[in-house]
Amino acid sequence: MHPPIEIIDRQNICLYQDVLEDLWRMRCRVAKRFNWSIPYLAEGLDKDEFDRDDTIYLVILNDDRRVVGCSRLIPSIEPHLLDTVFGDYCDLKPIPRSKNIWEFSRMFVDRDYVNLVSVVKSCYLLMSGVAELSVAHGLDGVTWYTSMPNYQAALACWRQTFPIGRPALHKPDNVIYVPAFSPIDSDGLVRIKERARHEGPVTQYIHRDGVRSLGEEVNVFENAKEVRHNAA
Amino acid sequence: MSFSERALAHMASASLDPNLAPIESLKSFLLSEGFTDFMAREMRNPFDPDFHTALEIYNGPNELRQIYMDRRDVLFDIGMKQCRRTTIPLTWKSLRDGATGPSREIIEYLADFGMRNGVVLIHREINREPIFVSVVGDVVNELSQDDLLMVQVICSHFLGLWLADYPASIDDVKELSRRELEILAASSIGLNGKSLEDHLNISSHTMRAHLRSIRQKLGANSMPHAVNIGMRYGLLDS
Repeated sequence: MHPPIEIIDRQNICLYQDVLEDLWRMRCRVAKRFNWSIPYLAEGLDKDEFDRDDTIYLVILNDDRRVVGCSRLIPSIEPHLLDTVFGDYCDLKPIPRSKNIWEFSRMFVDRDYVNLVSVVKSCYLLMSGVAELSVAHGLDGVTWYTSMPNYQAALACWRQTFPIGRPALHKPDNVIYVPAFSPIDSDGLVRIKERARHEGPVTQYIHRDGVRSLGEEVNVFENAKEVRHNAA
Repeated sequence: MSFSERALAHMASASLDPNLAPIESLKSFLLSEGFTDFMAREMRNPFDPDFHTALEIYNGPNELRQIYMDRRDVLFDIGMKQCRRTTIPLTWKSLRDGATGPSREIIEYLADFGMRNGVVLIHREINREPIFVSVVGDVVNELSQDDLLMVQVICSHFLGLWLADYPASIDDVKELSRRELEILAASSIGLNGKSLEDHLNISSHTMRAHLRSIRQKLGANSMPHAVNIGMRYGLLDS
């Protein structure tokens, strides 16, 4: 049995202030372990300019409400990693960009809090969560900057995945990373759930009034759009 | 268009093809890029009948990247990480002397042609017979480091798609103990050697016994190979 992935957006963020703080600290620990050179690590928080009001977080919490796994989705029509930080790797082809394409980033699992065996399981859980959100809300897919092992895992489920830029060898861990676009449809959702052996929904959205049904009662992508509209 | 741009375009267009034959698509791309189709013939490994190299990429005399496929159709990429860890300064001669079976035959064959870069594809029927080897190589141009990374990506892409069509079976994988699963999972996130022993608080002797047992149970040649088998068969998911 897997824990549910909790979805956080601007509408329910007030319930998760402590969780977000913990999330940024956890991301910092994992990034240091990967020897990533990203800003803000010295301050103990990995919170960057893409952690915005319209960012959607997927988090796995343990029984103590500590963040053990996380990821985030950023709208591709707004500044995101692939058109800024990793823009140099995507200069060969136009980056897929539309209101129905979101960038999937910072898929981290903290092995300090999960059994080592569960690291891979948690990654699959997060990918299942992304697929579930995509299908529930009619997204076309996600773009991401991913390691080749994760690319291969995605390819096995999301068959239409393809690279959208030049690969790079990440020196600290000698792993090849590549920017990619993963179209996700209902077949892709079924495949990843089969591969990860997930039965039933893996995501849940908690509001002040209780648990809401994603896709039917709550559209987190529309919520984000509203945030951007209000800001404009 | 550069080589990398053409490779990206090929993968993007192939993703829209509902009748895609991944290996044929990869081979046709490499051939269209001026790689030479060296040979296509049946080949068996007299030394290790259960293990076959699925793909090898040579980059000059100093680097060998290998993507293996084992008898359960597991895609296994030791890549640069393995080369770095072993830090063996591979030379053309040492490759020839060190390789056995099809690899050695292929290398000798290619060396006779003066090949410096190359991609070796091995096609295999799902019933494991016959083994069909085709070698696609570049004898003319040195690949740049960037192009070589792209070759790695495009080969991994199409081999991954090819293998995704074959459902995994765990029938012939023996069950690992809880401790062995922990070690396998720790290996999957990059821990090895002393760091692995320290992390799990196990002596070197005990660790060696666990590692040997894991490899035997999974039929793996090495721990990276075992991790790949574990991931493919969901042993790390439970």
